[in-house]
Amino acid sequence: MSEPHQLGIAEAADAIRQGELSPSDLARSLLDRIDAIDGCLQAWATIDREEVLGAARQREEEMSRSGPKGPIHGVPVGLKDIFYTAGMKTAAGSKVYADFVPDYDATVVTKIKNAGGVVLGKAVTTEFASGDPSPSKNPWNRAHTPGGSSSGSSVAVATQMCAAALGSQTGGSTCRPAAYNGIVGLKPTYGRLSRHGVVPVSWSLDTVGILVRSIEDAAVMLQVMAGYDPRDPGSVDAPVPDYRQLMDLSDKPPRIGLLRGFFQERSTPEVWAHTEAVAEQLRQAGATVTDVTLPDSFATAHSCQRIVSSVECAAFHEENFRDRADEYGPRIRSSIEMGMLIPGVHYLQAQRLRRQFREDMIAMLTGVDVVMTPATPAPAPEDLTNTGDPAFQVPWTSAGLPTAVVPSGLSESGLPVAVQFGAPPLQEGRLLGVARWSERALGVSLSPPDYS
Amino acid sequence: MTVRRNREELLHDLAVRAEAVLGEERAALIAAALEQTARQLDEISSTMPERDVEPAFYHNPS
Repeated sequence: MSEPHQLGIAEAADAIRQGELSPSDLARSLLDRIDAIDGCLQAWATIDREEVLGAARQREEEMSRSGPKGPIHGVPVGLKDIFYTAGMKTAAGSKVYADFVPDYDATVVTKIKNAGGVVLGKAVTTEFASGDPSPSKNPWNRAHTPGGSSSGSSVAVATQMCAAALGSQTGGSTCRPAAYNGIVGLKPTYGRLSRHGVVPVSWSLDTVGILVRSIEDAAVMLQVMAGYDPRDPGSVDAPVPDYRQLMDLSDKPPRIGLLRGFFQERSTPEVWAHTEAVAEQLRQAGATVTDVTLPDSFATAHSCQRIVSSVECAAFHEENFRDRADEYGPRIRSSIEMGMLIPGVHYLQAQRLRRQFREDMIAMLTGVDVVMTPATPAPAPEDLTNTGDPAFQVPWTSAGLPTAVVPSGLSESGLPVAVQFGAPPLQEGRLLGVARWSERALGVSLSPPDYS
Repeated sequence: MTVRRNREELLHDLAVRAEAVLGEERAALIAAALEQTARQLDEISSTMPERDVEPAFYHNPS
């Protein structure tokens, strides 16, 4: 058997259910791994070793007393440090929230615990999940950005410090760092996962994201957390399907639409050539790949997202910002200031254009199962002053549509590259099915250098 | 009757408001961000949504 820290979510949960692995041994293996390598990578903001081991022991007792609580019984999960954890600091990478200790868990954290999961710790985030870089290092090359804002979550999953971690996406903060670190990222439909108890960037854009090492594990985590939450005004009141069953139904050669236009023009020649090679490989495996054209309303998608994000961010931070502006990092400070200056009419026009764009994107998706783009315009840049380019995620976040990123190879410089799939709203089952079929057809499994 | 403001005018409006709200010194420091925001405002001002489209604060499942 693999070392416990190497197991994915589904594998670890299976091993615990079969009695081949104890929650305590799994927790200890992950904590030892963190002790061994996190000094070099800085993926974690808060780890309470005794708390983790205590929770793991409790899961062991539950297991012997009454069997597993749920599908991830005994498996530790990392949380981006914007998810409220009762009694545990939630600093959101900021000085302003440095001492904030919530008195309740975020809804998704409660769901993880109810499914038998164990909170492993709080992963480093960029300040308030915005653009100021975090101290986390890209394990593939520490001179390159790991991306953001879910930087610690992505690095932790890529280096087997945990099998799954939560992120979030307001622009490109889940799927971009997933691509830069060579792992799987899932940004579900807006409203599919509750935002209650998540420090916001922008209420109408924020989406809880999932970072894992396989599509199978993405489905497991989505199943655990999906569902309506009346405490989140944006929550979708729709039944939660059996995602693994839907994935199995989609386990056949898919119809994939390749998006060119903006995505081709913005990509480096190497990334675009790689994406076309991936499309050809999928075609050879049986997929139907056709070109799909972006709607005209795509032209304003990025500007709408920036305007909406800045204004909502300014509204959330207004009270703290009055007295503590100097404690904010330069990028989020500037974003808040822009939000304070943008006229209300423009904010509302941006929201109207977003709705139109979403409808156009849904129409674009008819006739194919999913569309495919490169995950990022280039591999992780050698620049630690920013978190890379979110341009290929922003339109999907703005439209509230689900996307999944699947690692697809290495660049000439030895950095991960990936493709991104997008689907209609609430079609995560189909999206994950196509992504898993593609994952298998591509057969790419990436492991960064070992820092132990 | 009002006339749509062009990018330079939008930038001017933003700069004036930045000085009033944030002070002259800070407004000068964020000049690049103001230009970027003016470009974004210009972009959305030139693309009016269809008349019946309402804002999308929260997306409804389709």
